Amino acid sequence: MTPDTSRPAVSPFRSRSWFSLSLGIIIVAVFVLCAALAPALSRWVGYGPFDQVTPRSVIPPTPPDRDHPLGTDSLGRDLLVRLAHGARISLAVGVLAEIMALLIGVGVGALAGYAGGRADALLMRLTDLVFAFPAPLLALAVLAAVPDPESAAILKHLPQPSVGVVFLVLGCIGWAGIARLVRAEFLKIRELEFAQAARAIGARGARVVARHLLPNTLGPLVVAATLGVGGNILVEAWLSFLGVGARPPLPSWGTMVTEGQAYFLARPWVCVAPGLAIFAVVLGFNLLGDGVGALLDPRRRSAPA
Amino acid sequence: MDRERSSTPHARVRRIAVAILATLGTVAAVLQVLACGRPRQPAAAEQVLRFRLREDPPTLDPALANDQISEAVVLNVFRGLVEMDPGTLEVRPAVAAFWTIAEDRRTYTFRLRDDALFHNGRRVTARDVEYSFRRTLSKETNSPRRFILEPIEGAREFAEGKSAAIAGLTIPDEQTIVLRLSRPFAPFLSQLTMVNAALVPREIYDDPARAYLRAPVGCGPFRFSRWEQSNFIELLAFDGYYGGRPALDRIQVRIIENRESALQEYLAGGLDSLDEVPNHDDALMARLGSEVHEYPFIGTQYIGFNHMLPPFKGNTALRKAFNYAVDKEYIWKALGGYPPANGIIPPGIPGHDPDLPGYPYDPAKARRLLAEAGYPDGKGLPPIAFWFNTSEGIRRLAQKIQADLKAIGADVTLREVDWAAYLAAVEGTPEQPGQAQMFRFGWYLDYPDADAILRPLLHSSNWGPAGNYFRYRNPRLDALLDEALSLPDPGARAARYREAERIAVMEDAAWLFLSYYQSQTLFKPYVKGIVHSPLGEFRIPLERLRVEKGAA
Repeated sequence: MTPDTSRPAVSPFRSRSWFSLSLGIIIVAVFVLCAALAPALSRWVGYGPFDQVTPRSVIPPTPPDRDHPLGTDSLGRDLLVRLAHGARISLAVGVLAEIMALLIGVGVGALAGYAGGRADALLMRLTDLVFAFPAPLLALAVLAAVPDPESAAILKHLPQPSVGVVFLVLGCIGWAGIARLVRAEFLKIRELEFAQAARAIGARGARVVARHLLPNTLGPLVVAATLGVGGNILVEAWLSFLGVGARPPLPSWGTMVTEGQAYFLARPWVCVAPGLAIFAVVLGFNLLGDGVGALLDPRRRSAPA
Repeated sequence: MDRERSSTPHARVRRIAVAILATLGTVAAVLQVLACGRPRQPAAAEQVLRFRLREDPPTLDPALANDQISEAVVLNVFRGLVEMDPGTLEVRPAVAAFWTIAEDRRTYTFRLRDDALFHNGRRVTARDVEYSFRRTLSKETNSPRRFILEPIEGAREFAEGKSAAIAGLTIPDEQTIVLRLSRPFAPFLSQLTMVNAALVPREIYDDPARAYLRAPVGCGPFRFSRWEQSNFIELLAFDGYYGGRPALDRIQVRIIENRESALQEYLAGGLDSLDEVPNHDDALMARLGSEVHEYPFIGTQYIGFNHMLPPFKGNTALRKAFNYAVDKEYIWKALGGYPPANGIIPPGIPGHDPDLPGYPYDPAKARRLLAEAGYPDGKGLPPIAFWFNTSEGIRRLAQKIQADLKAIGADVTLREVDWAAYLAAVEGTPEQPGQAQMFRFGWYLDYPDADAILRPLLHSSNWGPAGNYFRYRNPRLDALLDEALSLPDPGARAARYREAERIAVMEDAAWLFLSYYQSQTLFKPYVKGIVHSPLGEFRIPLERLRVEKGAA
C-alpha cells in the first residue's frame, strides 16, 4: 500500500489555535463571571471576604469541606469567597492598566510612526528608555518609593489607593510595547497605496491616522492588549505577593499566596488555591491572545503544516 | 525598644532587595559550599554550639549595641562592672567583685577583681572603667543608650561637651571606682548591667581606623575569632576568663535570614539552637516535643490610642469598648501570637500584678460600652485608621483585630506601611500628635524594672516623640512613678508600680492591652545547662551551656 499523499493539507496549527482560543475564552469567561458574581456569592453564602467563618474553638486554616470547598485561610476566612472577590481586583487592575497603556502607547506610537523624523527619534528613544527597564522591577521600584499610598495626595481619593497605585504604575510602564507596535505598523502601512491615496486627495494627518492607519493596526493591538491584561494580572499578583501591591485585608491573589506561604508544608491549600487561580487566568489570557492573533494574522492563518 | 522592629527586618526596601537577590543568593550559597569560606566542621572532642541569627549584627561595638541581634554576640564577648543573672534577674558582681552604696543612696563604690583580663591579656583596672564610661557618654560615640550612665553626676555636662571630666566619677586607686549620682536613682545598678556599660581596653578602642568594629576585644567568657559577613561569626572560649573557662570551646553564630531555611538547617542538624519555632506546623511541633522551649519574655504588646485625636480623645468608654472587643485568647492560640496581657508590667518584673482583671474578651460588654461612648452599633464613629508596620505576623494580627472590632460595629481601616513611615505617623512632633489614631506597638524592657516600661511610655515627661506617643497624661500616675524612683525598699516600689498600672489600665484604658511576649526557642536535646531568661532567647548565658552528644 502506498501512503495516501492526496489527503488535503489540514493545518494542524490551525486546529491547535482553535483549541487554544476556545480554552482561553472559557477560562477568561469563568474568570470574568467570578468577578461579576462575587458580591452575589457573598450574599448567597452569607459572609464576605473579610469574615471569619470558623468557630472560635477551631484553629484555622481548616481543610476543604462541604461548607468551604477550598477550605479557610489562616484567619478562618473562606478561601473560595476570597478568591472570587480577588478576581475583581485582578480584573480591574489588569484591564484598567491595559486601557491606560493603550491610550498612551497608541498616542505615542501613532505620532512617532506618522510624523517620523525628529519627533519619531525623540519618542522612540523615550520608548527605548522605558523598555530598557524590566517592567516588573520598575513597577516594584516605583511602588517601593510610595510606601503609604493612602496618604499620597494624588492617590488618597481613589477608592482603594493601594490597588489604584498599582494600576497607575502598570499603565504608565506598559505602554512602551504598544507604542513600538503601533509605530512599526504605521511605518509599514503609511506607504501603502490607500494611505498615499488618502493623502493625495488632501486628507489631513489626523484624518489619515484615525480613518486609515489606526483601523489597520487593530488586529495586532487586540492581541497585544489581551496578552497585556494577562501580564498585568501576573505582575499585580507578584507585587502584592511582595507586599507593595494591594494591602490587607484586600483579597488580592498575590497577597493570599503570601499569607498562605507560612503554611505551605502543613496546609498547602491556603497558598495553592490562589496560586492556581493566578496560573489559570494568566494562561487563559495568553491562550486567548495567541488564538486571536492566529485568527487575525492572514500569514499565520494560511501557514502550511 | 520595639521587639518586632529589632527582631524582624521588615523595611520594605529590604524585602524587595531580598526578593530580587534570592536567585543570586542561591547561586552564591552553592558557591559558598564549594569554596573554602565554610565554617570549620567541629572536631570530635570539641564542644561547639551553633545558633542562628537572622541577620548580621548591626554593630559589635558595645557602646552602640541597641538591639537583640547585636547583643546576642556582644554579650558573650564583653562584661561590665556588674551583670544581671539571666534567670533570677538579680544584679550580681561581674568585673566588680563587690560594691557598697553609701547612706545617701547616691554614692556607689565598686571594688574590681584583680583577675579580670581583657582578651589581649591585659588586666582590667579602674582606668578602663573610666575610659569605657567616657566613651559611651561622649558625643563622638553617639551611643543610643547614653542615658544609662546619665544618672552619674556631671555625666550629662560631659556628654554635652561642657566639661572635660565626669564630676561624679573618681578613682581612689587602680582597683576602686566611685560613682556619685546627681540624685538617688534606684534602677541605676540594673542599668549598669546593660552591655553599653561594658568595659573595653583603651589601647584597642582608641584606634582611629576603628578596627575594633570588626574585631571586638572585651573581657567576657568568649573572645572574638572571625566574622564572615552574612555567613557566620565565630567566638572561641577565653582561657583567661575570670569566671573560669567556659565548657563550650567554640560558638558558631550562623547568619541565616530565611526562617524556613533556618528551620531546615536545624532539622538537618546544622544548628543546635534556633530562635524560632514552627508553630504553624502542628505535626512538626509534636515531633520536636521537648526541643521546644517557651518561656516569658519581659515585653508587652499593645495597640496604642492617640489621646489627642478623636474619637479616642477623652473617651474612656470607647477605649474600654475596644479592649473588650478583641479576642486576645484566640490571637494567642490560633494566630501564633503571645499569651494575653491583663495589663502593662509583664510577668517576672517586680510590680507585675496577676490579680489585675484587665479586659477579657466580652463582645456584649464591648457593644454596651460602645453605645455608652456615644456610638451605638458604631453609628457616628468617625473614620479610624489602624497603623502597623509591615510584618507577616502583625498583618495577621491586625486583620483579626479589625474583624473583631467590626463585629461590635466599629469600622477601622488598616494602614500597613514600612517602619519609617509608620514611626513618622505614630511619633508626630513635640508639638503635633502623629496622624495615627490607633497603632500596634511592642515594647521590651531595657532592664527588668517596671520603671523601664511605665516611665518611657506613660509618664508625661516623655510626652510626644520621646516615647509617650499616645500623649497620655495623668498627674497621679506621674506622681506615683516619681515617688517609686526614690524608694529604697523594693516591696514599696512594686506597690507604687502596681497602683500606677491600675490607673493606666483599669481607670483610663490608656491602650488596648494585647499580650505579654514570650520567647520561643528550639534546642537540641544534647544541649545542657539551658537557663530560660525572661530577658530573651539570646540572653541564655552561653558560658553555662554544655554540649553532651551521646558518648557512643
